[in-house]
Amino acid sequence: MWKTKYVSVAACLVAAMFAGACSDRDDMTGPTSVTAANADEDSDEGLYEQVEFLGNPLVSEVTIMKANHDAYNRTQPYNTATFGPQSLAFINAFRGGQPVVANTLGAVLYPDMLIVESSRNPATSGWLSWALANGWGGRNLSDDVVDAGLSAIFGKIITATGAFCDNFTLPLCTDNVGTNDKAFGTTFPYLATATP
Amino acid sequence: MRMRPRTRVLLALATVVLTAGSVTAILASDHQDTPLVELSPRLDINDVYAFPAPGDPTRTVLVLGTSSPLIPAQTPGAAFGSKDQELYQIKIDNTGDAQEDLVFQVTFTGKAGNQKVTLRGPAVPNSVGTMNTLIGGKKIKGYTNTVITDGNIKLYAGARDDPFFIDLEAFFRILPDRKPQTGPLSTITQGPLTFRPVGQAVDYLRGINDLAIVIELPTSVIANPATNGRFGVWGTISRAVN
Repeated sequence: MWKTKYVSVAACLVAAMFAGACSDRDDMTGPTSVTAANADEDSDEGLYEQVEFLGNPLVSEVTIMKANHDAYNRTQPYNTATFGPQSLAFINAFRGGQPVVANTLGAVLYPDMLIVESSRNPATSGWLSWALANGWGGRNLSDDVVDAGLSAIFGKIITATGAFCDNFTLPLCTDNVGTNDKAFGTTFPYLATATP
Repeated sequence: MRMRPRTRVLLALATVVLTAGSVTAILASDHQDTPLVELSPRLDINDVYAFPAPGDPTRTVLVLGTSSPLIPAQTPGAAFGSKDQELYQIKIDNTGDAQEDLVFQVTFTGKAGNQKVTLRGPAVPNSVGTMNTLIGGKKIKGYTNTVITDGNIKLYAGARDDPFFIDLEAFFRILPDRKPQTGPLSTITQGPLTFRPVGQAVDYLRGINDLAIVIELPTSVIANPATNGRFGVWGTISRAVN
């Protein structure tokens, strides 16, 4: 920005030498307005370092120790080798003896991305539907990922062995909040308007 | 000794607490999940979504939410990143190697409520991984809280209702070590170890806003026939390295 301003001031001084210009009005409509426009443009340069990451809901929040979240946020989804085993260990801590739960979740949640199978029927979109229901996958605004995640870990979605609760029931397989408080829109940008 | 199911659950939770230590801030969503992002809401990703456009299933909608929880009084003063400081990206892997092949890069300038937003991409990134630079080529520009249409791409960046829903208070009573370090939720103590029944459960994010980046475009722009249209989506926020 300072470079632009410097150039515009220099140009004005050069012009003044020949024409006596550089009134306030000229500054308002000419060089200064160009400077102002550039002032709120971001530069095309610069180096940016990743400090926050999110792929699938649940993965780091539930299965990764909080002490490791910063590293998770800074290195995923390129670091399955480090974090995949941590997730499996966490799940096995309370579903020990049923490694199929950890292995199944590990296979669908890592590498940690929302997977979309866009060649499939869009009407089948939903979190993990690509893996569990031959669906489009992705994540819908309306998906109750809390209940889905709780039921996968504590319930019988993957295996009934060692389940703590029936799927989508208390005490731990549902939070009993199944929908957003506001309806989602049918037109872009789909998220409900902010509460004023 | 044969344990009652509830005892088993309690022991299992205790095991989780002991083995996992202090787990994290929020189940399922990603609100305030580290001290860094708790202190800097604009660096916090709440949620990422990818779904077919409701009115045209040949198009895909990508959402990155940040800065939640915003109560209504805080919302007008909340801003995305500032000039040359923060970079919001939605990244696409369409070759199956968990490395981005296409990126959407979103940057902001100006003051809360009327920021200028710039979208670069989707385009091949200059570099893959956690250190990135801004890509060249066409930019889509506009202002926050406005639907911007440019060719076959729609862009919106602004305050919306936080689309996530959860009984967060109950969750933190079950696993209080996941609570944030500040705010009313930080004082919750453990128990009872169950979510609440219908009628008592409360959506903690009712009436709570976030700042959302929403992009819609033809799915064919990001899908790769060589992988049968399969692609992976994730969101990142980056800070300038000064």
